[in-house]
Amino acid sequence: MRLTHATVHVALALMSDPGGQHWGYDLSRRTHVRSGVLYPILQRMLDHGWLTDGWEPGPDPRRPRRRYYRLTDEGHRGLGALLDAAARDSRFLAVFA
Amino acid sequence: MINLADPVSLLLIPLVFGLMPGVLLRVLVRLYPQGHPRREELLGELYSMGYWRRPIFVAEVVETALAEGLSQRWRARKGLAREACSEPELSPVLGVALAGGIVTWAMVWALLSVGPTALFWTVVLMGPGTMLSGALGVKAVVVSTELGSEARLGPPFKRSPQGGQATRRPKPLAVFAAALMSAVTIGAVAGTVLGPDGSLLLGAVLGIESGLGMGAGLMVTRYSDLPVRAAMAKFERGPIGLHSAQAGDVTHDE
Repeated sequence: MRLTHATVHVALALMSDPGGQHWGYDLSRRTHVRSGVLYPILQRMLDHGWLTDGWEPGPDPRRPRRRYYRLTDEGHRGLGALLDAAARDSRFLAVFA
Repeated sequence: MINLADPVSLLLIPLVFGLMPGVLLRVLVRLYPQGHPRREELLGELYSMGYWRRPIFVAEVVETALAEGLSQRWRARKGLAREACSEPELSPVLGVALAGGIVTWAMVWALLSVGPTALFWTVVLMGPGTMLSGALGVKAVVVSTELGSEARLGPPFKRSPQGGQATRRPKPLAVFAAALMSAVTIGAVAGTVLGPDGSLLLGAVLGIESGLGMGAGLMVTRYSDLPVRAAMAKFERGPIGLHSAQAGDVTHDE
């Protein structure tokens, strides 16, 4: 996984609640990462097996369901390693300050 | 400044603040290939947020859909091409189709006009020769009458293979040409046999045959070349008779 500011911000947001469900738009708002950047990152994490996804049973069956993402054990380790690498990288000093 | 008397403003207000974000998003998500989870995901996100956020979200999704959706679509097409290249050629589907026991020249013409390598389907379930072409329920089928040969079943027509890349293309010109040709052929035969006195019968025959031709021709559909091969790649294969639920629909001369 390429180390970028967006990836690091998303990783931090996911690791802030490792056992919880995460929503695309919610992540976008919390990390200030545009959805055009966020969704490909999430897709890459899914491809790596770092995330699993599922569909929220909607409260209203007429409305489209929301998709959630959940961190896997492998993802927990992967994102941990990614954040470790970022913390040692001078480009991301401001993120961890 | 919003002026309620201005028709442009009246158009823009619902567009931006309420009515249209959902519609716009539904259009935008169509940039993703059919069946892509992002289609439903983005719509789900839209309806989970406040009204005032929705237009902004849709504006963001323009970029997402263009960048991610189009690239996914492109990859899907390239994937299809690769899959198609690895597939062996489809044996030509031949045969004079029979519709309710009546040979329709229109059908013959329509079948020939789409070319020997195209996969086409029809409600006609029988054909002389070694190959049968037809439909099993909503599935395309190509069956050889030789014992021990394989029946090849396509995906249901309503769900096109590989996420909707294949398209059914009715050939209106072929249908018209087929109907015209069949009418002329039958008319010429009837005229020769019956002479001028048979004009009434000739008219009736022409009408019936044209109608049959039109009806049969309209049922003929083909896939464009690339998706045909993709459809082939998705085929299930198995000996005739094992598809018990559907194979009963097909009869052939032994």
